[in-house]
Amino acid sequence: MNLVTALLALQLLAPPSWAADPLPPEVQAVLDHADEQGLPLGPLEAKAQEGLAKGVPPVRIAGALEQLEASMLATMTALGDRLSTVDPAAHLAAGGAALSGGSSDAALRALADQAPEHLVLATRTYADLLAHGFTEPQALGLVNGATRGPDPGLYLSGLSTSAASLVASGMSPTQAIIELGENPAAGRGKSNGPPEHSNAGGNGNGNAYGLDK
Amino acid sequence: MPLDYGDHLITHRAPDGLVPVGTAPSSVPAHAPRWRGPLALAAAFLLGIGVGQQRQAPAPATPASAPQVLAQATLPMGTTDDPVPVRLVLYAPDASEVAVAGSFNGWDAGDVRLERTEDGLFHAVIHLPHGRHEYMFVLDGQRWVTDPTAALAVDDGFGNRNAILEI
Repeated sequence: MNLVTALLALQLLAPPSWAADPLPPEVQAVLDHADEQGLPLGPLEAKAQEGLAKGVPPVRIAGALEQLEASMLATMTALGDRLSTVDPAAHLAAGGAALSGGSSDAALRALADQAPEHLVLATRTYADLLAHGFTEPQALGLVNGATRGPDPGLYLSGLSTSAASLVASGMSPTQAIIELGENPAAGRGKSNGPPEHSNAGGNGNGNAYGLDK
Repeated sequence: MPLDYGDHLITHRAPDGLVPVGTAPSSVPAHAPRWRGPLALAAAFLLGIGVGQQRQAPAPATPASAPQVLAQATLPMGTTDDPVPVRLVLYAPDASEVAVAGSFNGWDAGDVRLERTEDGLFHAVIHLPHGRHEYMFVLDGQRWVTDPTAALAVDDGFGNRNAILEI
């Protein structure tokens, strides 16, 4: 009985099979390099795990990890002390996705200033919007509006899904913004409606969001 | 078993022609018509009340599904650590086995298998914590498939796209 219990305990304590196997050397090399750079390894390890599970060749996994590492490093540089202290790994990953989607460093900083209490969610939503064809000012405006609503967490969580659904239905990002109530004339003055958004698309001067260009 | 779609139907035509159906929460502000459609659609994913089942359309060429969150509509988002039940459905008539792998289970294709019900329809209810989850379906242990009806998907870095579930 004791032996059975001990074996069961050992089985439960054993790491998952993927973790027991050594990583392919090219993959491990990227992780080691990222570690030397001071990056949190969570997002990179998760991506490596995903690639291995999907049967992706190690060289290709290493390539994807190098891109992720580079984007996380760029985010770290861009954000400086604006980086989340609560979940820096998730913030770096989300910021990296945004930069890979075409965001500027200044926009990432502006976003961090706009939504200090929802850094990761806001940045991830912003990256999603960029990935679905919204321009930087449009995405910033939408996220900014959501963070100023009555329940930023809820609105941010639903924003990228709603926007992506509209785009998938055939709308242009501009049309989607109008549908979402982003039109300044439609979104203002409601106390219990959707969150008010700033004038996504800019007000003509190209710097409607306080970007420190 | 009769399907109950509730009073408010949300239809979202997927690229492959399948029409998944969810139920809109009655709490969508009536005075915000511009937000109603997208909000309701988002809410079907985020809050999804007593969601029924998927209405089957003419057989699509590719597998299709509709992730549905089965939490209570009145549940304040982000205020509980309780896992949220999520129904995953995939129409894959040519598959003999379907699993779901994602960020929630270490991308383990052997962790959650969907149950085949009728006419090539596979489904499973999984319990996920609040947050963002990426996933793909795995057909017959080999073929990784993006959920064709997921509203949101992201490049996985390996040439595919991961579907996103925000709950």
